[in-house]
Amino acid sequence: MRFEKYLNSLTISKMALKSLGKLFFVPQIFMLILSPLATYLEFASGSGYRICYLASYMILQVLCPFFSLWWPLLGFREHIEGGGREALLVYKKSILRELIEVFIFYVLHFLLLLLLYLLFLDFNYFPFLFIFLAQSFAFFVVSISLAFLLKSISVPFIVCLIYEIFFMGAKAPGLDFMNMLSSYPPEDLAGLFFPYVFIFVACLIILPLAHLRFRRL
Amino acid sequence: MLKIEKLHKSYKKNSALDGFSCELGRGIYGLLGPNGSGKTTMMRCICGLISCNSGSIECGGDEIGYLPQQFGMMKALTLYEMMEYFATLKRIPKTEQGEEIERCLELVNLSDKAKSRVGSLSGGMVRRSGIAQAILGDPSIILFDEPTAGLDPEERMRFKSLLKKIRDGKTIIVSTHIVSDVEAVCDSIIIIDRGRNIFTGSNGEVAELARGKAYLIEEGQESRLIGNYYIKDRISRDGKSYLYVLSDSPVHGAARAEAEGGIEDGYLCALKNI
Repeated sequence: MRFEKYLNSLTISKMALKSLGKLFFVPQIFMLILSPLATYLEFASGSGYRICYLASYMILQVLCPFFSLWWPLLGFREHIEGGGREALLVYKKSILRELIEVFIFYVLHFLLLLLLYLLFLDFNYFPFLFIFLAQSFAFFVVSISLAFLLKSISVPFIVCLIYEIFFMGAKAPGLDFMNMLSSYPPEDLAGLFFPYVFIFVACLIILPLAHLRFRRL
Repeated sequence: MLKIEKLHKSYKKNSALDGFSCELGRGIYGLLGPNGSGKTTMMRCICGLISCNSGSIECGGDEIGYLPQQFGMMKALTLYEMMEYFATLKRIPKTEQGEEIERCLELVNLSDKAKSRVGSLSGGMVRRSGIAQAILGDPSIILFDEPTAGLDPEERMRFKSLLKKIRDGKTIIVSTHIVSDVEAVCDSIIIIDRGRNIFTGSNGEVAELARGKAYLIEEGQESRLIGNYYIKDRISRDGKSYLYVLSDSPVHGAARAEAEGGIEDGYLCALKNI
């Protein structure tokens, strides 16, 4: 019975991803093809190992948290803001389990990306795996909370994009307590404690409330 | 049995449902009312999509199938895949899904479109696919909210035939503001206005509300109308212009309308308190 329930859930996640059509391949194109290719070309053009390593880290900081939203939000767009939302909500009140399954699917792709970097470019980012996963998880939770609250998928994308531009591009001073992103790999992981824990706790409070809101029209 | 008792639902200062009550057994019920009368709110309350301020709904734990006013989704999937998605959401066993999907697509005459992308279907076909997902899994309670919106006359007739085919052992509610959608197919009609159940009865009982109240008067003779009345239509006959009027008071010098409009006139009499 429990196995059937789980299989049901996986089928829903699989079909939600299938409903994306060609949009399904966008994260894979960026993460598994373009990003490693750009790094390789930079390396092949004569830039040193260290420069390429850092440039690649910066690209991962930008792309990977952002694309953690792609499949969950677009795959379940119909449940969140689509024309048939009412009908879907009658038959299935919660899609939280399926969203988490899709996020895990994304994490597996991300691990594959890190493996590709290690095998083909000798860039080892596994020591910073916690950072990438924490960033991706935070973006994922904030975005689906916003999607649940506002019944919109575009607002979470915009918010995450603004966050990235603000903290990577503008380097906003005085807001270090909520800055998860960095152009350089951190030398001291303990120093990241405050922004990550702050955001993690905020996510744990926001998500259940947002989910309650989502289950009603 | 679907039992609804004294439902109240307000949105800020607007009262969408104002003590709505009814008891529905097995059969087809037409929920008639003007725009903004509370039909969709009532449907959503039954489905559990919105919570009411007070009142109760008992549906005996029966499965519900629902077609909302707006339906159109998953354009990248084929029609069959979309139905498969709904079948999975409704927890229909995998081994039974194929047969059930084919049965429902056959009923709405979309079997030949099973492999077409939903995005390539016409508006009417999308609406029919919505009807198909509502009846998928053979639920005991089926709610259709404006089911014939976007359907051509032939498809409307086909929808009425479909209702007759699937009605056994079910409680089916068809919410609409178009009287012809419910004529000849519904066992009972519920008239809703301003969130209240103002009349429940058979087709004959609804038509009876207008008995002796329909008149034809010459245009320009409106001064003869007294009491509560409603000008339904303007008719040209023998070069003269007449008004088709529903009135609760006799209209002196006016001819009774030859073919009283039946359910539609009765519905209007109930709405306008004639």
